[in-house]
Amino acid sequence: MIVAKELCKRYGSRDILMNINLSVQRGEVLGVIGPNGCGKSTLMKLLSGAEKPTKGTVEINGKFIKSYKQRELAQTLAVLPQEAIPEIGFTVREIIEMGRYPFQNWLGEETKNTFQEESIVDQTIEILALKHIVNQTIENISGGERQRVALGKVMAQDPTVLMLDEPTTYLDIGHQLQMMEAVKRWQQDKELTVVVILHDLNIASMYCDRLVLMQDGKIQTIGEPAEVIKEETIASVYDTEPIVIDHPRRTVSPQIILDPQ
Amino acid sequence: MLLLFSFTLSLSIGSSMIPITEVWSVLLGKGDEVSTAIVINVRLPRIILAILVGSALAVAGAGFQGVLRNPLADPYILGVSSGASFGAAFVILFGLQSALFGMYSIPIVAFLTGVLTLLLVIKIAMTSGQMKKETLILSGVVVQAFLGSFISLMVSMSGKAINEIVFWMMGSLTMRGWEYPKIMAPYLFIGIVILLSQGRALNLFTLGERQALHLGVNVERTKMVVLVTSTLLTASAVSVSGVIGFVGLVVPHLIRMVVGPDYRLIIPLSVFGGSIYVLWADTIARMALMPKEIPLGVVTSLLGAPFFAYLLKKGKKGVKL
Repeated sequence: MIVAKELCKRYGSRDILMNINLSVQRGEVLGVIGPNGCGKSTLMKLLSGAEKPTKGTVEINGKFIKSYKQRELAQTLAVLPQEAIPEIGFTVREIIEMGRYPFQNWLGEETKNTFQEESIVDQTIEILALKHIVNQTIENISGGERQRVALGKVMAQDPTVLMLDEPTTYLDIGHQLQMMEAVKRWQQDKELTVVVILHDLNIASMYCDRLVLMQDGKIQTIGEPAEVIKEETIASVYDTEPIVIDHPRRTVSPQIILDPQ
Repeated sequence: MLLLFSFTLSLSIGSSMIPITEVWSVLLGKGDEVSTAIVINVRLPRIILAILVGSALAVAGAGFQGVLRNPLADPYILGVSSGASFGAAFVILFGLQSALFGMYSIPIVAFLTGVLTLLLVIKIAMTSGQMKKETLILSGVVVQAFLGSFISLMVSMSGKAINEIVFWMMGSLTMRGWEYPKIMAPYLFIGIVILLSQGRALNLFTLGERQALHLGVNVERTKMVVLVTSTLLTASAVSVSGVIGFVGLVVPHLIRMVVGPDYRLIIPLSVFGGSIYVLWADTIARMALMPKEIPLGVVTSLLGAPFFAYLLKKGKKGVKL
């Protein structure tokens, strides 16, 4: 569960975020949408503890984020960043094992449950269909596989709260859906609390329980996809006038069709 | 194994050759008097110092490369060598070699100025409690250039001291006796243990600092621990031996080419790699143009550069030592 109260962030004399209040229930998927530069990434940095707010507080599972130790926080909250895993020469398996770091002592042994590590890393490899490439180095696999490995690393972290920053960027539509399906199955399986930044409004509409639409560092609208994805709202925030239609096969996921003048 | 072999072979080579079997009997306390004198009092301390300096530089290089994630990072990148050289040149120029701390004047002053330089670099690079690695590298370059100009100034002003300054800066292990290795060994040991304990965190650093943070690494603290430890190791090496180039840059890269990116292996293996590298370089330095000695820093670069170029050309795969 995540609760943010009166969050503000200021860099120099520029206000990036102003008075953000939101809460995400356990097991809920909250999508964050909005144009470039609206403060989505900064919001995620504050919610994940990567940066401190200028004002306001963040609570994760009922405890202020600033009172967590870094390691303790990593046992609860995992972040899948926008950047792909750099070419660092480690194998797929080694990278997924890195997700176990917060649960290991300085010798690399599991501190809580010793045989759990093997099974969770193996399970992850199994679930994400990475078995055939576990011993390949990250340089030698495709972009779609790399993103699955990045997801595998956060899955091995076994968090209760998950934050994803544009997990589908750079992927083709097939891999985008594959990625989102993998996240969704995992989310439902473990009842994860999820915050996800998305650029693709159609994907956001289909995979999120609620959406936050941001504009100029403030929350413009927050609600279920059908309440947020509306022609006039989208037009006012994105400065373009799309057509919004109901999804032919789903009831709660309005879809957008671009219609440049 | 390779280190042990190099160790004995280097002990036997010198202006008077001593057979390896004789070296062993000396080490086991059964050699004759002349060989014992040469091996124990002349060669052994020098060789041990070579091993210590080599491992300090190589392991510090691995530490800097791990934190700064820059292939050009070496133990001198943050200006420690310039700082130490500045101190040493100052002492030599004003003839203070035995005025301040007896025979240890140069090493102590060089060590202190080396460490002070790091503090200055960190102070410049620190903005609101965080150090960006790019800023850190640039402030290292700036401080290095600034101190470099002072060193040049001192060299140009010094009349007969010029040789001594220049030779000090080129690095040497001549005439050091047993005192230096004895002083250096415990610090080196502690430093290596600290860096070893950071190996896993450094592996996560390769993913980027933010990712490491979200995996539970205390990024700023780890950075500080590794930088300060590596600097202290470097400063101690430089203060006893002058500026020996290339070891700290090349050895960790060589190890990485052989064993891959895992710092849990790179750090301990750099200790051995650095020892062997400097041990052989020093053996060559004292042998090649006998009875004259070549500055050690010259040998390490002269041998290291082409070898490294060859390995780069050959590519990462299939390199075996």
